[in-house]
Amino acid sequence: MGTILFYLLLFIVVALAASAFYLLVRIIGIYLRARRLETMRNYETILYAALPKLGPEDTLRALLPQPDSAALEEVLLRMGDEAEGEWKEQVIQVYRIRGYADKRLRQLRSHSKPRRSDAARRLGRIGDPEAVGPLKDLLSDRREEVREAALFALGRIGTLPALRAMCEMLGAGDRWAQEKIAEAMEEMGDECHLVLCELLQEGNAACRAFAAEVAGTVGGNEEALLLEGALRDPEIDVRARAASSLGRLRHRASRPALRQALKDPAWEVRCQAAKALGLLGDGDDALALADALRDTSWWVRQNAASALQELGERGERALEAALWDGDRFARETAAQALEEAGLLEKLAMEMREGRVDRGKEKAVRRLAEMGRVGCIADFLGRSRERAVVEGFLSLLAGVEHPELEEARKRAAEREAAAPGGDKDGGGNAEASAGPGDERRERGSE
Amino acid sequence: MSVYHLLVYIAISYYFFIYSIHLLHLALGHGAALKWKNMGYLEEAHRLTRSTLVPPVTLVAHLDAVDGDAVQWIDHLLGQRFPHLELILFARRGDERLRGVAEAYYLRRMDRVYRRFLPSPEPAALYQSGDRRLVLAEMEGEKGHALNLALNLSRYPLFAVLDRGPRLEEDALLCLIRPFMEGGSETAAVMGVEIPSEMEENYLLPGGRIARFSFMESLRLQLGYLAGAPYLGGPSVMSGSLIVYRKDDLLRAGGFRAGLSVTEAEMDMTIRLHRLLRAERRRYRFVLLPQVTLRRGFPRSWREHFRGYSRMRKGVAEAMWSGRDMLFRPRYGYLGMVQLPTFWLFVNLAPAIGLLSYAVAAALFALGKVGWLPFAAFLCVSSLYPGLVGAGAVFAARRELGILKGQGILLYAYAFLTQLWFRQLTAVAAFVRYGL
Repeated sequence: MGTILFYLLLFIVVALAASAFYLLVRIIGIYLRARRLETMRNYETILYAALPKLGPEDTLRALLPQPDSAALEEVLLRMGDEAEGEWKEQVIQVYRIRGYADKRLRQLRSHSKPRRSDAARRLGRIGDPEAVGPLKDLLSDRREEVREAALFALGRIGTLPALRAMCEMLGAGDRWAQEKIAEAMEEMGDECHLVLCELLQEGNAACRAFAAEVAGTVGGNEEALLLEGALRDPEIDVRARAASSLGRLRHRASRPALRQALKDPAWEVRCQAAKALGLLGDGDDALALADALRDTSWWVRQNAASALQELGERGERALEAALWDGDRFARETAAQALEEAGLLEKLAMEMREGRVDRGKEKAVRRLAEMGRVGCIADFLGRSRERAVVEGFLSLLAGVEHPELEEARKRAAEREAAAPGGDKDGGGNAEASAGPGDERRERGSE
Repeated sequence: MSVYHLLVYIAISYYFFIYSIHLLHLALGHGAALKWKNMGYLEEAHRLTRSTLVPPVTLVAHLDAVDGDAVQWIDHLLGQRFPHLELILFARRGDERLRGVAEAYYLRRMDRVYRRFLPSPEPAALYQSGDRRLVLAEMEGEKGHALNLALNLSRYPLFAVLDRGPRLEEDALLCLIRPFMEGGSETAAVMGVEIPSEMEENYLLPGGRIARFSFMESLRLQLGYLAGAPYLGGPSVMSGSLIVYRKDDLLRAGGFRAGLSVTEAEMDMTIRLHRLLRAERRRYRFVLLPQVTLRRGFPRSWREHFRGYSRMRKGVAEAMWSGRDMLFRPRYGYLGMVQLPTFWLFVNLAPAIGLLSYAVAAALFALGKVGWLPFAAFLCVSSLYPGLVGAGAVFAARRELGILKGQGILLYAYAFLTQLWFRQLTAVAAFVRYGL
């Protein structure tokens, strides 16, 4: 019993001692961290105040002769994150004079993966242009984290040589690397156009494809001309991305080239060309896009139909005409596009206003004849305007479909239920508001 | 050594082996967490919001899986910061919320033309928003079929399956698609760490004992298995509240198996993707991002817990059975030689083996066939050693995920206690109740 008690007490004492030790370590840790933060704040104040007046060397000699090395480096890195222009150069000078740059450049050759990666990130944060060469070597490091750190650093340095170095990663087809390069190009501004033009004429297809894609975001008129040339590239990927970029650039002068691309043997190119023509939004392209509704590829037909929706009145006319097309796929795609474009709501509005659009009326009847009555039945079910419902039902007279029969029955019941009701068709316009009347797309808010 | 001792030693070896492997996975997962952290996942994600290079994603969910206000939940999903996404929702015919959602988003019924890549039932009706970001399908069939219909309807190259109505963390989707953008090996599927939706304040433990224990179990599974398993050819099965796949891979794998729940279909898909990608000799990986990506409801009662557990076990059993031809086949590498056999023995058959081990050890000790030392050793290895793994998962969560800070000893006590009785009781109850 005594032995058990002894061991129990021993256990309690050991547990208490361990807890006390743990608390002591935590308290010391917090104290040291607080002191370091205080030191860093002091350094920051000194650097912000003295650096513009005294310059890097005098500031260090006079005001920071024996600094806490780790704290000063951290302060400089934070300043490097935010600094720009001349101020950034001064920060880089201080970083170099204190020997941090040399130390980190040496560490880039270290055997330790975390050390290489950490050194690269620090050099990137400070933005020292002299580090571009060694960082470029690191892009072929066998460790993913190190390559990622080098890419990050080169992007942060953001000079033309850094961008060129980053572009060497394009051959690997790594989408993430492409993303980083695109970001760097965007941040660089006009200077990147030179690299973009070079890349568009590069021998490597992956580089050309990347440039063709990014040109849609950062390019201008000069790139648009090159992109038109890229529409004749032997690689499908390059042609497709070039077509997409021309659309995003809204370069209207490229419409003939894009119309030509609608006849490309590769469906990927045709599909992007159709989308681009939609973005350019010129009604003169309606005919070419209507032809694309008969394409053998599902995607091309879909994009052509969406593009026709974008063209407004002329596009819609082309879609309506396609409802009588000999090609079944063209008819169905056009029907879906017209439903999406709110054909029924538009016709209802015209009925309400007493206008008559024979084209729309015929199109609605044609939809029903094609058996696409889901949309119509749903519309009639929601609409509470007697005149509109009656107008639609008379338009669809003779078309047999169970859902239409149901809609007719419902309309008759409603008629019977409201004997003294509104016969003139003015009805409750608000209650009939459909998706086309009030475009409040919650998803896109 | 008598045969009784041999039996107890086999039981001890079983538990020692299973949890040593578990510990190895935990260590590998910790390494993975450090790697993702070094690659600056959190810092860089928000930069992707305005990128044109981010692959667009289709989110798929069933309204049945959403608790509470469906419109609010859809708002939350569509409000995610992400360049291009669409949401395909399924609802049972007659679900009252269907009409509400259609009205709230001004959805228009469409006779939509879509490509039929996979056999799937026709929806009773399809509703679509004007900008095509939201599609609502009224269904009469089963959920498994619904996933295949969603594959046919989706327009984007990435396909994300949502289950249990999760609420995503900020930039979660951006973080989840990044592995698909990275070079090197191809990414087959990605999921992130899930935590209870009750953990709103400072990431402290959720209220309710069952939720706490079940969360500890979930942490052990996520950080102690899923995060590290890809380094050993795994994971054997993967299921969660949000998993992102490549649509192309799903189509080539033949789509989701019909007639299964979402959890079961996801687990089955893991095996099918392994088989497909191995057959095509592609370098691939499954990824669990050691980062909190979403919050979801955790069980609040034993009944809910058992129901979830039995669903999970059914999914594991289905997946293991469909992948039985991969067992001990060297062409499947670590997966066929280590992961799947281990999974069969230590997960699929675990409740039966566990129950048997406890019964045999206790009976032999009670009958005096074995002494207190082997019995104590058995209890230590079967209860305390797993406790260590559970505590390790909590340690990893605190260190790598930055959650569960501030509850110190209580937290580790829960982690330890979960492995001391909760897990065993769950296995036994599932065995007795469902015969699993």
